[in-house]
Amino acid sequence: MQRRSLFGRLCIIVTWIGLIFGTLFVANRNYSAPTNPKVLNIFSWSNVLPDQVIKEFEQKTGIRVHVDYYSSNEELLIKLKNIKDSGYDLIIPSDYAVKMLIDDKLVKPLNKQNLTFLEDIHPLLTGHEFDPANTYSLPLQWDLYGFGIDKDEFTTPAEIPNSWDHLFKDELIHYKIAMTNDPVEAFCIGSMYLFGEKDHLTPKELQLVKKLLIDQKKHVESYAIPRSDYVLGSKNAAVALTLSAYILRSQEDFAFIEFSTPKEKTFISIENIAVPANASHEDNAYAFLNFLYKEENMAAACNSFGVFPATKSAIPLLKNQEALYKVQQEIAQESYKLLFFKHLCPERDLRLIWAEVKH
Amino acid sequence: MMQGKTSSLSKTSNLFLVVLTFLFLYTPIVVLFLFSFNAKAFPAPWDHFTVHWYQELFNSSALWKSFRNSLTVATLSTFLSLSMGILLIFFRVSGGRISRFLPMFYGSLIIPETVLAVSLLTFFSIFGIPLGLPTVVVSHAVLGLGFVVPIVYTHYLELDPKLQEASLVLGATPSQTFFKITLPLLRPTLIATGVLIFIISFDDFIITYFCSGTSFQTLSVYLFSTIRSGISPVVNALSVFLLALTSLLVLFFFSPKMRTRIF
Amino acid sequence: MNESIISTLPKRKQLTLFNPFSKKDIPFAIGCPALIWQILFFYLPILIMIVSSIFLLSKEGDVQGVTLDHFRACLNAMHFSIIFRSIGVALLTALICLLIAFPFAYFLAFRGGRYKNLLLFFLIVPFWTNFLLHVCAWFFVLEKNGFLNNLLLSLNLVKEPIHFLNSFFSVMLMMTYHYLPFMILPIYSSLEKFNFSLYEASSDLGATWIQTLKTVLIPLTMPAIRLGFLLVYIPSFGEFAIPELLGGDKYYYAGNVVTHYMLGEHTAPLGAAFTVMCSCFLVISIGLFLWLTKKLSKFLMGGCQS
Repeated sequence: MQRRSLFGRLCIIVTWIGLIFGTLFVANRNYSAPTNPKVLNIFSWSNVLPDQVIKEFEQKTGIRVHVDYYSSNEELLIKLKNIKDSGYDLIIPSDYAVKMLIDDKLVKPLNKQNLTFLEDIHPLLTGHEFDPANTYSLPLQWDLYGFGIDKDEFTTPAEIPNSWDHLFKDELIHYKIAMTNDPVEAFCIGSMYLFGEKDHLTPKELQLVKKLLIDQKKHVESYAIPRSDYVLGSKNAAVALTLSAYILRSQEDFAFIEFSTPKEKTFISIENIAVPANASHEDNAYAFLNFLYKEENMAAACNSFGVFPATKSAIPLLKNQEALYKVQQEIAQESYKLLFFKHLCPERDLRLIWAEVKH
Repeated sequence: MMQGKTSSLSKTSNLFLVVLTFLFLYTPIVVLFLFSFNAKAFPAPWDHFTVHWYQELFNSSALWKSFRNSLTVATLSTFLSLSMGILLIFFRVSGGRISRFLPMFYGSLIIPETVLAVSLLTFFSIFGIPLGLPTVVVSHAVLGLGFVVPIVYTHYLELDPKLQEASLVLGATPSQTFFKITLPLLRPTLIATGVLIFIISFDDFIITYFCSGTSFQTLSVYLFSTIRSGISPVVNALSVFLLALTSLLVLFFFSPKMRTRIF
Repeated sequence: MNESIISTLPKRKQLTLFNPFSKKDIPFAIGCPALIWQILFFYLPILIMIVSSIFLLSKEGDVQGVTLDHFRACLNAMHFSIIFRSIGVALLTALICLLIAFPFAYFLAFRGGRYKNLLLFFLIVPFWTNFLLHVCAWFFVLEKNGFLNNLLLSLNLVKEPIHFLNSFFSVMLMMTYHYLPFMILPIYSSLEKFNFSLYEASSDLGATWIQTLKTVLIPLTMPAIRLGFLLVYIPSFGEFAIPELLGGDKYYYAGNVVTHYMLGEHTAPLGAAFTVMCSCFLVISIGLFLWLTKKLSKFLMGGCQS
């Protein structure tokens, strides 16, 4: 009798577990995007596609666009890798993420015949090492890493920080800095400052970069690039390591903020478009791309977010034309080096050493 | 009750401390309220009065979507936790023995939420369960269960056993006893606990941050990503709106009329 | 209580064919989801997390074998200092909350009178709004051109705005603000149920107000103080959003490190190992605290039995 009741109870328990798991899996399946032909699923950064461009596209073509946002390239990779049928038809990865996606075979080659805007793309942005022939990706927008400056703190133009020394050399820093919170960026910048262009760091070199960042810490007000305009605007810091886009988008609110391009070398960030390997609505993706790259739409996107367009035709319609010309003047020089972020050491070592910097 | 000089000094210092505490609790909220009418975004100083942000609040689709998500998650998880707690009590009323297993529900007290969130993330990724609304609801239900069982069961133990014994002796089945006697007696606790875990779930940030994946955002996660990139006064407007809403709810639940009906 | 009653009732007939389910199992079938849920989604994940701390991941992220590397990486001075820093902050938060909460709850319970419920209402309402909105709110107050600085400048108490944000002060302020209700409510419920005749008896027997407080009130509310302390200490140990948003993310606490490791692509086992380490220290510190409060209780009552 006791054995029977034990067996019975076990059956009940197993049934409940089966029910719970079953609901979990089924609910998720129903919850993810249905396979409707007139649908486009995009996975993007949050400051790339403006709402009105998407709405216009939806009205014109009748295709429902659904956009999900990610906040780091790691998130993008994890999502695409771990979920077999993630259901995205178009993704917008940054430069070094494209290389990782290509290596992991998560993207498929672009069907260039379907695209109408290829000649419009600025040659400066194509043919880089992460995708030399641009088989899998095309540049969409770009901006530059540099210094956001609070002009009120610097009385003469000569004092305005424009070299990497102003971020790291103790003698030159008499203000508060806002630094990046991303370990990959921080270590690339530190290593560029100490060693120049490098593909890989030895443990000894890692320790030196770590020391550099720890020494910098006493000047740092906060670690967060997306809030750099806020930190400058509230006058909590006078110099912020930031992307040009964040500065340009907030110049309307804070007239005393300016962007200063670093001398000799800096990092460029190119947002690219790519099509995931398991995309199911490719045609809709190409239609959207042709729509997005038109000069009015490209300019609208760039004007909302302060980024620079990848196409030449959109430039005359830009709000920040002046800023763009200024930046282009600096980086067009022969000796100027434009660098990309890359993984200089295994992720595990990087995270461990970043914890040491932060502690 | 207390006489003497020391007591009047202690009385005034006590009152002073209470006033100070209330000031501490309400200053940020009042400031938030005032600046929700400022024309320019913080940290720009006061510009001029406007209700523009309230209009934008009601137009911001992403914010309302996340608000709706938070409400959905809170409702579903509260329902789940309460049901499971009620069913557990039913089992107890029907003669089951659960006193041995009761300490298992107190585990939630000892584990920091971050640890639980991290464990659930590992669990979901190992079993290949995609993150989204269901995983968030499941996680919040665990949270809620950690409150429901200790609170409701303790209250159940405090009930007068004679009422239930009398019912059983007079011939009612355990389930009839449960529905006609036990449940009505437990109703105030159930409602209070339900409200408590609803708020905890609505307000929850840590577990949702880990277990919601990328396509499903609740209000807390949405606000976190917004704060990371700078604060818009729409958030002020939202907080004022939420405060008004919750004040009304609390007033409703604690009003004398409601209280006589529940308690 | 119920079991003895049930067993004296006439037994119903069992189904005679082989059937693993008897009528007695129906309540079990109904009542067991709570227990299953708790085991499945609370204990099992924690167990899995503990086990995953010894996993060795390949490049693709598959489990290749077992290793103690993660623990070895975590057992160094830096990680220990981070854990101790978190314990310190959590302890400090709990202490400050206790110092504020006890007089507050005392006032509410004993001197509130007619306004008790009104005051309780005003206490609870901020608690019901979203935590991140509180963070936003404090930005408005603590900024360089925020409310507090403007007040101090207009009162001529300072010449230049004080730098409040992105410092230890702002982190502690927000922690206290966030966890204060958790400390006040248990103490208040305990004080409300307090038997006042004990108080009168004590003062009738000649004890001063402070002696009564020490020997009668505090030991009797010790369980509530203990509960409130745990409700504040344990969550604030694992807190990561407050140091990130209000501390400028300059110093990592235990919660930040766990998040940092867990959200990496291949560093989840490292995060698990560190979490296991943190939990060990947490449990030890809680045990120590509970033992201390027992000793304190005994000491305050001057040798009387509890």
